Amino acid sequence: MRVLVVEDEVEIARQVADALGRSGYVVDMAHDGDQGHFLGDTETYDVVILDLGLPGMNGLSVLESWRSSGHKMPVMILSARGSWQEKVSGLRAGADDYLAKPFEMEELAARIEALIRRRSGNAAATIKCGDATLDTAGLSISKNGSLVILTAMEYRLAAYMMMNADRVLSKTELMDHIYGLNEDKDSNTIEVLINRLRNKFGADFILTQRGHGYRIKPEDTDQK
Amino acid sequence: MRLDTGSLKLRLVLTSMAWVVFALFIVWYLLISLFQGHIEARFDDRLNDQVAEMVAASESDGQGGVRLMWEPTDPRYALPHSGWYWQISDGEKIVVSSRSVWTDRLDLSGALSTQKSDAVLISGPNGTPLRALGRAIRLPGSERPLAFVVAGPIADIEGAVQEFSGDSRLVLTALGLLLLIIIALQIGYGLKPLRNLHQALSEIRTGNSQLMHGDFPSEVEPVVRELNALLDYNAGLLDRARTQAGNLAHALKNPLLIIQNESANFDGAQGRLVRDQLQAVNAIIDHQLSKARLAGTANLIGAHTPVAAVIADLFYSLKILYQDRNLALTQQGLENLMFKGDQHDLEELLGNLIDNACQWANSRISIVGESLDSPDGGKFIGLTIEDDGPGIPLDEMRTVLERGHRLDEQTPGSGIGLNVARSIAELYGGKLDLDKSPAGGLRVHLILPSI
Repeated sequence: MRVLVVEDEVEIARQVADALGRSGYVVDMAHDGDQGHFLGDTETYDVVILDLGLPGMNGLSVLESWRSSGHKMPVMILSARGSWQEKVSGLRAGADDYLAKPFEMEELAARIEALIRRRSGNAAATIKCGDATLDTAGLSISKNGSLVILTAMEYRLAAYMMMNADRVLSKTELMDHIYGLNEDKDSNTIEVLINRLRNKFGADFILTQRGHGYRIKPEDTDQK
Repeated sequence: MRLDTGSLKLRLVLTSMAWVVFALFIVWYLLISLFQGHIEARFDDRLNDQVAEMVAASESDGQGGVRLMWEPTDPRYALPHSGWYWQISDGEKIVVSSRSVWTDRLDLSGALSTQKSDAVLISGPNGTPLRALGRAIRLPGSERPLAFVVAGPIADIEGAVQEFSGDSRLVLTALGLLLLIIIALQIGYGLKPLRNLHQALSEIRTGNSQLMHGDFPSEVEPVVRELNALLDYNAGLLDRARTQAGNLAHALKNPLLIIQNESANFDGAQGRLVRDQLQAVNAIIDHQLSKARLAGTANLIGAHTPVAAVIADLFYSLKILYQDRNLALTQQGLENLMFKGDQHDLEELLGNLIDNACQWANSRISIVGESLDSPDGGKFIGLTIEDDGPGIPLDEMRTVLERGHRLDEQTPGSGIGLNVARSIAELYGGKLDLDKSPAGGLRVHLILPSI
């Protein structure tokens, strides 16, 4: 899962990035409105955390601009002001949640997770695909009830695929969601990771759709 | 009866009406006096002429009698008791008289003079009031002076005067009415800028306009200019205050957040102390900033906010913020309610109340609005916000409204929300009361000023 944090206070951005990194997210940071707007416009993110009081383009304009150019990623607004007028205008501009400063990192993480779950259409905290069960709160995947040990990259890939189990995911899309902006992207790693997940969850856990990409094996086809 | 003199127009029209009526009455009186004097003079001239004619026609017969060379030709002297008479007497007996005198006599004793004299009023035959003129003349060849008397009916003069008085009353009344209409039009035209001023102000009051527009005469223009400057200043003041509150929030909250996050690594009593103090500081900042943001009564001119629009915004926002809770937010009776005050203040007030309801509710929150009129003519909005949560025990309802009090430290913001809401309501001269809803949850009764 890839998160963009747009926050002008560098120390807060770092704290948020640390906390989210510990929760298994890949985090990119922007420290002003223009940079934040550019990244949100050009990169793919699963969630954006957007401070409203930004130098350069202000947070509300950034959000409005994204929405008007058709970017639909969930956006959580952070704000020091905390007035209802600001909450209303932020949510009307297309935000999906609002958190007033100061906040507990645990609350931020829980809300981000809820946003991602809602976006993938899963209201519950756990997602089941065949034998495997994803627990987004515990950052773990279990097979038939027993915990499977995964590296951070393996977890990111498996979690993203399970949340989007209803469609075929291209290699590019997978890379977009598990790599940060400044990480080296190597398309071969995806194949390596897929193979490792197949070893841990069974060979037919992930199907290859040649020329299109990968998908989690739908449960229905198994029974027919 | 006491007239309402609160209207400038009424005052001007009433005073103008008074002097117009008074002046026209004086004019009417003077006209009649003048006319009557004129008619009487003409009447007397005629009597004088008649006397002169009689004297000229008279000739002494040498035995103390008189012989008329010719008689006045006017037929009215021939008709008995016609009102027009002449008579010549020698002191005791009538020498000769007009046929109209018949068997009576005109008594003008004492008013006779040898000179041309003024007419006198006498009572003639049948008691008719007459205006008579007499002169004592001694004819050549006669040893005693003869009294020549001519009289005509006063009724003739009175009739003419009455006719004139009636005509002039008609003309003057018409003139008076015309003047009053012109005065009313003139006053209306003169006071039009004041009506425009009122119109411009009510445009601002109802929020259709931010400043006063229109052409005003030089007497009114300074008032308009000053009012516009005041409105401008007020709006700027509020903007500056809100920007400052925002900047202050930004400046304080960021370091607070950093400290709070770092303090998460502190263990034991030390960490708890730091976190508790941070929470206290945060509560104070929230409270003070929310107060600093309030427009309150400082910007009351023109401030008005439709309640339904604010509720729609808040419902939209709260449905997003609480979308995992599946809350049913319902409202009724808000369509025509207009809050007399700032939109952001109303958002803050209702936002805090409905947010509080959402935090505690099981599944339902309802808002019912109504418009209330107080007996002294004030207009108010009544809002009832109700949830189906656990509610607040009756004996704790008072303390929950105290500053910064929280019933349950686990649900953030619950105490301060109700407290802020009550401060805002009271700032506008409204009221906030708590009681229990039939469903057992909290019910908030809110009364706010309306336009």
